[in-house]
Amino acid sequence: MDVPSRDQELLVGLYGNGHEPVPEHRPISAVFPVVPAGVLGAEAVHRRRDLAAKRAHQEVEVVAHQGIRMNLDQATFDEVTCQVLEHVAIGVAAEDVLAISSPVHEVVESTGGVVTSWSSHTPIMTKGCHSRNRRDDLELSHQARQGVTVRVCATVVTLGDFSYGDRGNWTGRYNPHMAFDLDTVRKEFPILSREIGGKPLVYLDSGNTSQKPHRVIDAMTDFLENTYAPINRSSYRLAGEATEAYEGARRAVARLINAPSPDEVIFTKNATESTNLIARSWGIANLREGDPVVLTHMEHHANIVPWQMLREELGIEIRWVPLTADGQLDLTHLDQLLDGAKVFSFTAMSNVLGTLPPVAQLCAAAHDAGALAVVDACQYVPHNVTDVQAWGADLVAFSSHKMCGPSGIGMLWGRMELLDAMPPFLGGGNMIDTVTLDGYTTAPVPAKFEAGTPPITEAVGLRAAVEFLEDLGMDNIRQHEIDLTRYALDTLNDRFGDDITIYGPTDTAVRGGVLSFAFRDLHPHDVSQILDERNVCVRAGHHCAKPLMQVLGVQSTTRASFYLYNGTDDVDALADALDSATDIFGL
Amino acid sequence: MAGLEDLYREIILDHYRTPRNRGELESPPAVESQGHNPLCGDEITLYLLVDGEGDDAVVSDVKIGGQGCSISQSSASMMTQAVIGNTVGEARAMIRRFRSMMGIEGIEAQPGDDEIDLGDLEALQGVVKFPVRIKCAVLGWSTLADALDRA
Repeated sequence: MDVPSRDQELLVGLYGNGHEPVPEHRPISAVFPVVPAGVLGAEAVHRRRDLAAKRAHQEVEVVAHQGIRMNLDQATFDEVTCQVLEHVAIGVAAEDVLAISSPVHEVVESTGGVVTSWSSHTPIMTKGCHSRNRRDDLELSHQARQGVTVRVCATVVTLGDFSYGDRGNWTGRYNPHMAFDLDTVRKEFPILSREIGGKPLVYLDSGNTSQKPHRVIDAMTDFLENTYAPINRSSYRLAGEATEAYEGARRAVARLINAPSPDEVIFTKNATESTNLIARSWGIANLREGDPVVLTHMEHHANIVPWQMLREELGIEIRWVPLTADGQLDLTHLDQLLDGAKVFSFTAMSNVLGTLPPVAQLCAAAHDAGALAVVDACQYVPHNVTDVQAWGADLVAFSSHKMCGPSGIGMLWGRMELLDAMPPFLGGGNMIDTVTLDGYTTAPVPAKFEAGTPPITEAVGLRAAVEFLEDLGMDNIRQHEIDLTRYALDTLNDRFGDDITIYGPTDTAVRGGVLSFAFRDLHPHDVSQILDERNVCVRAGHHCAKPLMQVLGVQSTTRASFYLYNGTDDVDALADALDSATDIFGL
Repeated sequence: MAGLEDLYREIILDHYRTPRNRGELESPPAVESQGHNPLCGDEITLYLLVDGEGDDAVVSDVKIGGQGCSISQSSASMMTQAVIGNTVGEARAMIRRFRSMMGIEGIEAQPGDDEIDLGDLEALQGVVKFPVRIKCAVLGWSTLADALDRA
């Protein structure tokens, strides 16, 4: 299965799954609030409660070119290509039309018979895209044939104006061409308007977990209120909708990381479960006593302990890639370390140092040595354009909660032939093909690795998060964080000089928005306590990377980590708060 | 709302800047105990020297090594001053008293516990308002309890 494009995805499984009444027809001007391209603010974020007022009706003409399959009672088409021929009402060019609502509000004319009803789960395609309308029911009276032209009145979505969340959950759409606007982004995050003790929140702990935008929260609420049902189990329509919503998340994730197929995306509990899945499934099946597994000194415990468990159980050997003085991987002896190695498992971005190692180069080196290339991309995917194919990776672990999605769902991507050959990880429901008293056979990937009821609602939230990131543009997010990291490095070094030691690379080209530092002689717990007095939220501790702490020669650090909603004002607040530590401790 | 002044009392900062009874004791005869705070990675090493047997034995010396934040360091520092020269039974009672002052539940108070005066350690009472830091404050005490059990 190919990964559908974002435009296609926008049109699949969108609003109007039948339970929402078709709104009455109203004049266009009254119902289609035109928002200037590139503007997205409070006005443009339409929460569910405002839906009725925001419905828009446009008259469009669509042509069904092919593939109408029908019987006399109900024509069900499973693949229809439609094209907007003319956009009559508001002078929007056809190529700017992104979607047309479904169900349509009114059928104006049909050349191939009378359309008695058009209840569709998916909107009609525009922009020349091809839609795979799997669950649409087009009821025609009779004689409908290929080439039929149907004029309908429907809601029209245009670039720069609106997009639609699942089922009428309208949210503002960022114009993909707009500049990254921090104020606009921040308005999407309700928690950022919270004040504690009358002071605003300065959230600098996104390396730990990120905050959630409205549309993620709304998508989950809406799903729970209207669509929640088991997936892959029951045959009633509601369960079908829930399954489709869950699978929509898989497609979205596949698109985000440029996976060749959504089926290669496996949902787990978190990235830690993903790395454990790799070790328990691939590792136990393929590793023997003495087999070398290569890790690096800057790994998170999630990419250390599962391999140490295998060392205890199987007697594998663990080798470590050391670091340079500025916190990059020291690749001088990489070939020797990889000699005979079965696995090279490394982080794509250090959660402590922010270091961005050359992932593609490391994957190639692993393959040259005949080793499996495993990437812990937990910190990378939320902040960078990710292309698992360009990396040439074999297995990639990452998580939802660090990229604006909910906690409770993580991801593992792997090459299909690899996943196919791997034994199951957890056993139970959903992962089987059949079970008898004598044994079981496994379901195909990805179900093979998704035993039991998965995080369904979380998947729906994750999909909304992926779409949010796509709308902002991962390249925009990365650039924003480069700028912010540069500002933070300069500001903190300028203001505190020798009193602050910031670990990791100074070149922002190889560094993400993570700043671990030592401040004067203060213990990180005390630093974070003092910062908390000013609502500056940072992490103090070992950051689940104790071996790295040993390498750095410290017990713990204070870490400020940035995300798309942080700005230079947050950095200034951090610096001001650090200043106040001096007073309290009389330093 | 609890302010930082509730946490960083002057006596606490004094013990942090100038910790008492830091160092090592030869082990044996001293008992050596390690304490960890898995949350932040702090590690302390406590050396305990006891003279005698049972609850009536006297805590003759305690030394603290390792690193920690101001709360864990000052708490351990004050603790050493409080327990040295007292009996093992009295030291255990102080541990109970301190833990209940920190709001830790499930401590079975014993007769006489209420009368124990923790002295300077009362300054750590403010820690209760910062639940995240309670683990810091009790780190030294848990390590002492472990050492007493093994003495």
